[in-house]
Amino acid sequence: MKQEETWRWLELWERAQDHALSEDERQQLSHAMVHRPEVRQLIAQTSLLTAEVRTGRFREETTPPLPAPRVDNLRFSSRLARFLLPLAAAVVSAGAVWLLVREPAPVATLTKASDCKWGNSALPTLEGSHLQPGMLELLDGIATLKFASGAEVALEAPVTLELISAMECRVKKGTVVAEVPSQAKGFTIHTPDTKVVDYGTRFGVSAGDDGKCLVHVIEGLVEVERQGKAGRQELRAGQRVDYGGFLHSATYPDANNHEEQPEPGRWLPGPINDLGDGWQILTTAYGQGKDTWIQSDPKYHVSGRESYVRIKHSTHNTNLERKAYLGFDLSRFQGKRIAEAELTLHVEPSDLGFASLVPDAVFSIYGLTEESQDDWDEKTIRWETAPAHSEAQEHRVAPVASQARKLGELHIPQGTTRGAFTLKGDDLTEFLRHDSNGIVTFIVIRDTDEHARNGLVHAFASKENTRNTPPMLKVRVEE
Amino acid sequence: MLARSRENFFVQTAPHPAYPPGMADDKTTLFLELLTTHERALSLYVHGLVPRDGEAEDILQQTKLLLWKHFEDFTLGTHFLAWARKTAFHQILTHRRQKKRAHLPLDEEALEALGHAVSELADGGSCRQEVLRTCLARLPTEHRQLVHLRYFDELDIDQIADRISRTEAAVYRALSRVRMNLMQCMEKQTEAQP
Repeated sequence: MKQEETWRWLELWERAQDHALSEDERQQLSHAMVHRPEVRQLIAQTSLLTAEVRTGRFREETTPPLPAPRVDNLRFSSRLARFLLPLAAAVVSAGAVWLLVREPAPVATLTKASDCKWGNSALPTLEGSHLQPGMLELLDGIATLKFASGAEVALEAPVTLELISAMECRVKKGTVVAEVPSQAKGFTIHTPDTKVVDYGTRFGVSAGDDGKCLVHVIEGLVEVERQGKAGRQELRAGQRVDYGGFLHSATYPDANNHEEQPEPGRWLPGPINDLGDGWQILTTAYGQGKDTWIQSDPKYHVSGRESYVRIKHSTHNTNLERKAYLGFDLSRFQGKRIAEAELTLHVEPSDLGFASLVPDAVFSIYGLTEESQDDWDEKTIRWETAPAHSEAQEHRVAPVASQARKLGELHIPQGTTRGAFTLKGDDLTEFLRHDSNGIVTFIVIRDTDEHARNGLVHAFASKENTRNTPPMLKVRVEE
Repeated sequence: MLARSRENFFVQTAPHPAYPPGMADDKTTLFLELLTTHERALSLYVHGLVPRDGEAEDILQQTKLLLWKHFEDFTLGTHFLAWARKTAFHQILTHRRQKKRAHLPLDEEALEALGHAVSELADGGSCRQEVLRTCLARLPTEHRQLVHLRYFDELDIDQIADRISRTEAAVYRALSRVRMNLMQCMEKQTEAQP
């Protein structure tokens, strides 16, 4: 039998078990079973295999923890065993033994796992799985666990979490947000050096593997105990405690290793990369290229040398608006016609704020049409002086309409910490074509607001990033 | 109803009315020995032809009851398993008719043909359990989880589709792929074994 035909029969058989066959298919299957030995053989093999899987003791091989035991079966078997013992104890006892072996009850259920990428997890990672105590490592995305106690914990990638019991878990590294109903009061989250006990509330915990830890209460009350510190500290809604300077190291992740980098990381060995067929790639690292962000808090100083650009929109705290400015050097294409173009940004893990508090996010990309403002400097650009920016309320986030044009949007799912997001289309190509000074500026803003204070700050790789690709423009030119 | 008849089974078993006192114990022991020897094969046969665990177990228990009840009709020295399977097959047909909804949407003749084919295969090896264990462990995680949802959690296809955010058609395809993988693995492993 050909491979495709085998597939077809297997699928028909699969559906037959759910009565999901049309009358025509049903007849085909019946007919083949009687008149086509090779089909009969195939179906017999698969149905025997299924029976073996179902009746065998393979639960542990299929990893997810166990649903309630099959009561009918057990009742029958244990009675049978009881009755048999005086008669044929030797024969049956082997069968009776396994009846005594019980799996422990699951600690939690994985209720939501959208666009998740899992690392080295010892536990099942399929949505709906029941989880026993063990380790989960989420690399990308956002996942929700519902503990048997009723507590719900959102895992924000990248995070490593150990499930201990229905009332306890441990954040090895990363960020979780817990929502604890009153019946689960006392639910406890451990980090390497900190213990957070809940009293009916919603709170976030971020931990570094170096022992740094941030606890932020969104609603209600928690008590925090820190190793080496006497007593417990009470935290109420809006309060946070930061042990070891978690926020500082998240805000300045490169602060300590500037010296260790002899030269800034450049993803491209040459300034420009020829892909053939007229396609060329350039990044903000090429020529007069530049990238940075501005922030509405006047005290905050962006150096222009950070390895990411940060973007945020918040109506809960107007000091934390952030938008990115990207400059590309187009001088090389002067005199040539740009036929097509794509702009790509690479998402980086941010460590600042909670992804659970920001839904799937929309980013708008604008092109600066007021070319006289293209000469901004990434080291000195500020909130008050940035191109196409005005302090008027309506422009806090969106650029001044007469100086910039919207070219499109990027949609980034909640919890995304990796991946490339690309904008293309006629508006982008048109905008590049109209450049007359050899430099183009893009302004990137987040349209999506946070649900509550301390929502995630999105981060994208900049030209200083040594791990990831800087903002990248792919252009097809016609000679 | 069924629960009660199970009770009766245990209450009535010894001594069986068909055998005089003194004989009964021997007959009972013999029956239990035969049943124990062939229980797994019988169970595979029924589970192979009845896709729902609950129903398969009911049928299996009914069959065991009948086997015991009619054990005096069984000619010693003939094939106990063949007799048991025949009894089970009639139970499956009865069950299908009672429920009005076929366990498998196959004509009776087709179901019987399948039953024969399953029996022949099942009489083959006894080391299949270990091989199957190895093969299950080798499946990609997603496939193992599918197996779990389908066969241990006994979820309907639409529930599985819902949980893993796929279409039903995709789940059917994935399940067929799992079967194919397992069958190929079993074949390879069985060949590889001495």
